[in-house]
Amino acid sequence: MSLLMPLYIAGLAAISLPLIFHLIRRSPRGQVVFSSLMFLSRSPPRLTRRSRLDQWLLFLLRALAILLLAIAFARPFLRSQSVLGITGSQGRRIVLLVDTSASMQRQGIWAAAMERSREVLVDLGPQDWIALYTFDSDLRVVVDFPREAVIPLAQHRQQLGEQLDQLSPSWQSTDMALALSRAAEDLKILADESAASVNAPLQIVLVSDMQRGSQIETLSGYEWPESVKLDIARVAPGEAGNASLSLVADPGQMHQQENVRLKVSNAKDSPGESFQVTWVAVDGTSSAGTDVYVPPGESRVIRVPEQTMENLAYLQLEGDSHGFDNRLFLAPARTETVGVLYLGNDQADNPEGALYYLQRAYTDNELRQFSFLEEVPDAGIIQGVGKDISLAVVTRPLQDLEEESLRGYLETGGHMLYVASSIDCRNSIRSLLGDQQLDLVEQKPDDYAMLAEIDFDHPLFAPFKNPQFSSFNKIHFWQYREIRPSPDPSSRVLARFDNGHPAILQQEVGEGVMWILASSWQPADSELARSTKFVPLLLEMLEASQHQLLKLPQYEVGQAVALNRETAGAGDLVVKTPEGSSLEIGQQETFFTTTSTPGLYQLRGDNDAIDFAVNLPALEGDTAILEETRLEQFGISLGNQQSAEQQQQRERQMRDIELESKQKLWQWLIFGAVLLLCAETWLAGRLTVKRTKDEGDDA
Amino acid sequence: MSSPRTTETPTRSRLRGAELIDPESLMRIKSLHARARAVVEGFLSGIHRSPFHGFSAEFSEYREYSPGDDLRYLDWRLYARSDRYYVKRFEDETNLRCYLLVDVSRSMGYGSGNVSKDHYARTAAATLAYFLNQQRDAVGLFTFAQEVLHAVPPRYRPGHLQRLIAALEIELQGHGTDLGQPLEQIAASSRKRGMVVLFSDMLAKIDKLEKQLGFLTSQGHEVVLMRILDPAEVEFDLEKPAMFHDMETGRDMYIDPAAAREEYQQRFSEHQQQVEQTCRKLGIDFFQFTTARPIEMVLFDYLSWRMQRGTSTSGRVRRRGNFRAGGAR
Repeated sequence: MSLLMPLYIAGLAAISLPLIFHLIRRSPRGQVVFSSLMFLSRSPPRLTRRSRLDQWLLFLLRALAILLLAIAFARPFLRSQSVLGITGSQGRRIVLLVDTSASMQRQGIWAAAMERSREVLVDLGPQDWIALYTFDSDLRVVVDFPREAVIPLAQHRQQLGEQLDQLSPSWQSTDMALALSRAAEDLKILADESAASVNAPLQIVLVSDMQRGSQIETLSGYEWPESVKLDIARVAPGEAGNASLSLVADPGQMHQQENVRLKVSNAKDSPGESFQVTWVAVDGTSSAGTDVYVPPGESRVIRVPEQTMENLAYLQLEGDSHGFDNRLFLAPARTETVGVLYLGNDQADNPEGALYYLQRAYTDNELRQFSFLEEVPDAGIIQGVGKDISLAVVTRPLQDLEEESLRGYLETGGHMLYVASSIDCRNSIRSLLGDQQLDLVEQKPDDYAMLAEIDFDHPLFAPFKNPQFSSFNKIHFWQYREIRPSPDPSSRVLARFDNGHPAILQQEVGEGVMWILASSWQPADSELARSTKFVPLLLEMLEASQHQLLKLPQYEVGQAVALNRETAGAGDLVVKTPEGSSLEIGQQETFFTTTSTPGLYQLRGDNDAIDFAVNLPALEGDTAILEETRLEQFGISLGNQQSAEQQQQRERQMRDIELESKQKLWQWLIFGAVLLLCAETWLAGRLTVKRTKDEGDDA
Repeated sequence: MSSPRTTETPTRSRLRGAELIDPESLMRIKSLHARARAVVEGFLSGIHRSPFHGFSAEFSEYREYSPGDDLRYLDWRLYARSDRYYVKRFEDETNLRCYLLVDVSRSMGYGSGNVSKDHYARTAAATLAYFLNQQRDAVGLFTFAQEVLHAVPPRYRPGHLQRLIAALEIELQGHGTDLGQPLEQIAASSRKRGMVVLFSDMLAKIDKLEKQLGFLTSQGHEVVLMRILDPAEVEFDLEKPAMFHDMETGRDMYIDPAAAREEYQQRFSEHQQQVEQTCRKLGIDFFQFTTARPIEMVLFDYLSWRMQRGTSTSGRVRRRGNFRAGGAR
């Protein structure tokens, strides 16, 4: 016989109760009032006839009833009656997901993470499979599952332990949503594909500092598999709090060492609130700092005053115990001179003309300085046109010499916008494109024409792709020149008027690109110049014709740096990293992706060298604790899967419960106890009556 | 246990023939006044002597005549027989001043039967008061527990007896017995010498008893102590073990009478001996009754004592009438 709840057997101790009650002295019944107790002293309890059992039978009945009750509560059952085999339970499939983002560099946190990871390895059951994944802004599979037991489990675990020892935190940001969703997906695939893991419990053990800047928002678009459970092993740094430094200004508009606008954020649990921001030079010397007071949980935007020191390396935030996000590198911005060739009949101060608006679209700023040329330079400049003239804008019919120069400019890779302001431009366009069939026909709609069928995939219109900006309905064209016949297949219509006539046409000429606008932005032709689309459109044209190797001076860790291959020429590009090593970039590659550490990088081409800075993403500095309930909001089931042993135990327990509920021996035991108690009551009643009678007789 | 002293007199033998009223039956009479009258009238008819006769100046002794004596008191008949001048002397007639002291502490409320010590003591006191009042003696009353609760000064005047009995009828109010304070108070307020009859169970510590009773004797009072006990207190013949509740202190104690009886009786007897010894030392007469004794016998004992006292001790209180006599004890 087995017991379902053996602890209740402890109730057998209650058998001693009748014995104790039986032997105990009865306290006197009633009270006798007496005048004075001055001659009396307390009598010792009378134990005569009490030190031995008077009523053996009564005692036996009571003890037996308690015995039956205790056994009934212990829920006995007979195991031999029905033998149920325990199905072989499977081990867990565990992904050990270790956060290696920059915030894990905080003091004491990485050691704690490694310790927690090893605990996971120690707690593994003999049938559990485990894989080691790490993540920061990307997910990496360090050690995959052993799959179909190609290598023994023990060896696999040893290998995993060795790999674990070699891990170290990176400088990347944290993309927890990506890591969790991909790990869960991998587990699901494993359960679907591996026969040995069909019904195995799936588990992700996340070892992370759970910072708020972990980018979990995209999990809302992911349906978490019900079978996967997430166990969070949060690790905490030795010292609480963190302050971080980030750049506020648009990197494109920032000018080094002047007007640097910074944001200093302080975490909620931070012990300090007074900080200093100082410039540090390459040789490590620092200037006098700017004091900033940031209460815990708040942030302040400050301006760092202009510095006159040479060889400045970075801005340093002093007064914070966790230094991983306290440096801000700034690359020296370069001002580029952009030459624009304008060929037109109007004057720059005539608001009815095109140049008036063009000059206002292309105004000087910190990155670009424009120089307008209003006639084709002398013949000697044609060779250098690709360098000096970034964009040519033509609004009038060209003379032969001009046509020739511009055709040469186009064929060597120049960019040109031909504004067909009148049908007289027909011949110039024909000769530039080399298409003698082309004709321009003046069109004047009854009311106005609008742009339709815009090609938002083209770089010119890509910035307007967002529905918020994609409406061109407010730009009315009063008249335009229809381009006939329809251009050849090599040309690309970027936008059409609402009646189907081409509005903007792109045609490649040699290595260059020519855009033809079928109308113009002069107020007589259209409202284009006065619309909000005008400046961005023209800037995009300038971008397309840009020759800079790099677009921006500032990047984030892990961000791919786009390279302008056209400008770079045929030679190899070399990037000098902050550590001092040089990385060569292959000729086919258009991106530099090894921005793995923050610092100042230098890109060297054949005849140019550009500095760019790589910084920690500002989000990574947000080390406030991410509540686990936030993850639950995305439908992630938190908790632990049971190991094979626990499953077996539970299964055995379930089987015992089933057997017990089938047999229901406790009912018989309770019945027996009730019978015994009835007998006891009857016997006790009888004895009492007898005693009372005896006493009556005695009296 | 020593039994209280009793006196065998011719009057007692006469009383035997008379029917005495059982205290239990007596207590059924609600009015204390009626109860006292019943006892006194019954008692007097039992001894066949009337208190209304024999009031006259009583001869005491002869003294030789000396010039200046009042010739009215010259015994001419003796002169005729002996030819010598003698002057007759008479006892001085004075009214008795009696103080009744009744203990009404809680322990007096105890009664193993239907008669409590308290009721018994009140009835006895009322009886005595009635009797003395009949003799035109001045009777006063003090009831006390830890302190004097009611005081009625000794008077003989119409309505005084009713007032006294009304004071006696007031129910128990006190707690414990403490003779010290009340007796001192009484001694202070009763400056004129007289007789003091103290009704109490004396169930209190006796270490200061001598001093306390001394307050009374020092004033020149003639003191008699009537100790009233319940038969159960004397014999302690209770049977079942039980939780005993002390009426005075409210203390509870588990007591098995069978085991405790011997010790009780021994300590009770010691206590009684000490009380008696103290009384003897102070010249106080001591009587002890249980509530089973007919109340007439209390009156009888009193009278016997008075008679004996009158013959032995000359002239502390000179009395008239039947109570002049009193044996030395």
